[in-house]
Amino acid sequence: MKQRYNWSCLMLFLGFALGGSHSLARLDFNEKSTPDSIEEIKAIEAALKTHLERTRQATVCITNGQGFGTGVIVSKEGLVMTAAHVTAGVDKEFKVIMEDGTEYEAKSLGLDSETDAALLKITEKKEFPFVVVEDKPQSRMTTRLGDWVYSLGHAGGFDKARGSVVRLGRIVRLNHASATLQSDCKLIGGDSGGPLFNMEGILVGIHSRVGVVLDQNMHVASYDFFKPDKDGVKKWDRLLASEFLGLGPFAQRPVKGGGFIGVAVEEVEEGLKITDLDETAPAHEEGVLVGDVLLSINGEEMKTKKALVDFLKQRTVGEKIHLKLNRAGEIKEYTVALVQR
Amino acid sequence: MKGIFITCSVCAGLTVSGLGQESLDSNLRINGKRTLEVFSPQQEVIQNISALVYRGYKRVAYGVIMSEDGYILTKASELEGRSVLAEASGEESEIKPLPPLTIRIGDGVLYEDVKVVKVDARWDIALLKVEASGLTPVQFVEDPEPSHGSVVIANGASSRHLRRIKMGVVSAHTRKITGPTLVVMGVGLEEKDGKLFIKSVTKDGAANEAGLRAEDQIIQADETPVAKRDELIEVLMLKNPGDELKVKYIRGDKKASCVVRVMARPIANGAAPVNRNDSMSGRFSRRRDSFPRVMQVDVSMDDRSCGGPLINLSGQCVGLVIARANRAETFAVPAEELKEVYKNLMENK
Repeated sequence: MKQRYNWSCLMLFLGFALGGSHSLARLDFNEKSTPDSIEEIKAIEAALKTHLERTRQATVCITNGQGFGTGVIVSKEGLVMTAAHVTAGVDKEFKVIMEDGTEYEAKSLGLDSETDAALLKITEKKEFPFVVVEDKPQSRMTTRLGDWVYSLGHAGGFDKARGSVVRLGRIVRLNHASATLQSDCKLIGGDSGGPLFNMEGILVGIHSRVGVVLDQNMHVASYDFFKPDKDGVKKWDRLLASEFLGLGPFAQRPVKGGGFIGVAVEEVEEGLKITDLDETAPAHEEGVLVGDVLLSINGEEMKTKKALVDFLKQRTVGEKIHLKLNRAGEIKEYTVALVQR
Repeated sequence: MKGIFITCSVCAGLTVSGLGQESLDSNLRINGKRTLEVFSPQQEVIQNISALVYRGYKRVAYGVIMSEDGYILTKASELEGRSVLAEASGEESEIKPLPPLTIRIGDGVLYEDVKVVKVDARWDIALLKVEASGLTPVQFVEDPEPSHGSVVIANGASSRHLRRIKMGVVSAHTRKITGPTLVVMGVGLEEKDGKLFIKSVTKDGAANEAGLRAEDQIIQADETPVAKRDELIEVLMLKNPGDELKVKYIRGDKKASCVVRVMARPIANGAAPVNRNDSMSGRFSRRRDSFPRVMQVDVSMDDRSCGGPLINLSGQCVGLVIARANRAETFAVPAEELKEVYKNLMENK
């Protein structure tokens, strides 16, 4: 196995921790193909113990009530890195469970359905424990083949008495082109979206999938989240802007035009008068009545039937829209979630 | 979101050659041969203090050597050997006897006369005895339990002569593992108006034999007053098959008591996967829950490699490997509890 010594000193480590300190030398035990003394094993153990508690505090269980995954908090405001197949969509609601069982509401931001990267934001306003992220693939500090790493995750779902589960391993495969890492930390269902750390407690990967063989455990390299596209725009910024990137397979792009509101309208002077309401449809359920005149949706004026049809064509199932109506002189406002037709 | 995430796909799609793709030699992986060479002192300890337990030609467990003269602790529920049991039950009406248990210790010394002295069903630990002398018994850790992240060593692949080892770390909090009771009374229960009633009594069950009937109200189990199903289960969790359970009950307007000899709950043969995680987990243990207290490690064992010692880097025993729960989790009975179990087994043999 060749050792690559990258002396380009391009970037010193940049992360989200201001004033976080890291040694500039790579850890000794990572410089050898294998530890050659018990002292080095003890050094690996000591490094793990140094960072374990702190990184466990930032590792969270993510759930929507039906399934479980894991994520890791990467900013003190509560930004969470996880896997695209955990959030499976943009602007969806989740709960995040901390190590001590405390729950917080969260909302998914953008995702990359091809690389399995996703962001989530805890909506509660408070300061959260967070970890530092390896965001560049080519630096002196970069993860290399054979590096010792540890994974954390809520294997099998949240279990307060157990806590998140740590596993020690080494990087067994690296693929810079696809920005993936493979380790021999044994992952299992529930770990998805959870963190892979190097022995300095820096986030280097997010768990994605496993193979049949025990040492086939795949992680999205953390630097994938920051990859610039051909226009130089960093993926991170697009994820923060809640963009849905890619065509799968880790998440399915919501189909536009599938959203159904359940009203029939006729054009009147000030807007669209509702002439019929589908009884099972969301508009009816929220309280819209026949006779109401629709003035605007999401602040956009609705004067013609075509305007309404065009507007709905761009919407997707599950999307929430804000209706403003005139009911015999009184202004009424409703938020309606579009359903499958 | 359906079920638990992590899509399971075979990673064979990764090509070996290609830009930016590198692969670590298997000898250098965490449990690769070269990586493990550094543990020769720990390997020597495992070589001396762990036994190989066979049922016929198949190894069914490892064991922990507790005394110089051949008392050994191992995992009880795998001693029959799953595939061996399947072979023995056969298709003929005549049930074939199981091949004998044998044990190998040290560099391959064979012990053909193995006695199963006693079993602690609650902990799933069996006390075995071979006629031996001068064996190296295990040394237990004196310090408090190893903390999260501590390196531990367990049995790895083994031949008759050589015990290989595997390394891992303590990976979660030591805790109780809930699960079904190991013993059953043979009753259906019903809670009504804050009281516990027997709804039904199994025909050949222990409760029936003791004289209990449907509509009896259970008010006490041994010394514990009970009014809820959970309270009765707490008492049952402490019982081994064949133990006596004193039951006080009310029938009509009369109070009475009886003794129920509890029976073993049948453990499912073959441990079929019950969920997706099980399907990713290879061969996990048949009995992997209902433990009063376990330490958790990430060492990958399988159904035939439990029962042996877990040691720290100083060669001291921190536990007995008791179950392979799934792909990511292995349980061990901690040293303190193991010593207690041994003491009880020895006192009551």
